[in-house]
Amino acid sequence: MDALIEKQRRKQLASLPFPEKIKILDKLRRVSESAGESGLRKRNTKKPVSETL
Amino acid sequence: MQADGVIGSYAIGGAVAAIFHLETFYTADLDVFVRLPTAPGSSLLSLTPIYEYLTARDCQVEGERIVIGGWPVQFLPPHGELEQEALAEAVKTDFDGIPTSVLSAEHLVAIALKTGRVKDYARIVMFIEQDAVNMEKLNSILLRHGLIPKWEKFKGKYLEE
Repeated sequence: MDALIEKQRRKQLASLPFPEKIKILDKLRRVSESAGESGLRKRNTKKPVSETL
Repeated sequence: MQADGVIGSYAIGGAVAAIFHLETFYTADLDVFVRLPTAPGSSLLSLTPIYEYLTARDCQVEGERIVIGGWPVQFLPPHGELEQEALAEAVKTDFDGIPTSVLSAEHLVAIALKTGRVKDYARIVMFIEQDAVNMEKLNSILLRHGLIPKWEKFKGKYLEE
């Protein structure tokens, strides 16, 4: 049942007009960029050896 | 760009084209398949006129991409027969009143299968799960471009439980 509801939800999202989808994508990109700027995405960055010692 | 003769016909490809057919997912950039006009007497294709045209309009080059209105855009001439067919049969649509073209779901799946990276396979699964592909049309494309064996292998690995 949950899978069916999830499938319906995805179909609804897929049927949105293209400009609406691009607006959503633009928001996702802004969130990703601000996460990058705030350093949230830098956790996996390798530190130089001198900093890890 | 088309009106100024810098590019010929074009169509949105890659992840943004997939979003046209599917629910929205994150992607950082935009791929555009573009037919390039050749200089008279020459058969050489070059992306240089596109870069020159856009940098003259304050667009910044970032490696293989050029940033237009905040979007890193990659222009891809359609090298193979599959890509040329995909461009010729792109879906006509409009974006807030501006006419544009987007690669069909079936051609996107075929190109993803041909490219064959993990992210391409993941995208094919999205198309299938969301019933966004006409299987008859996809099969005829796969047959035309010799991709049936690869499709069978993909299906066995990722689509059959």
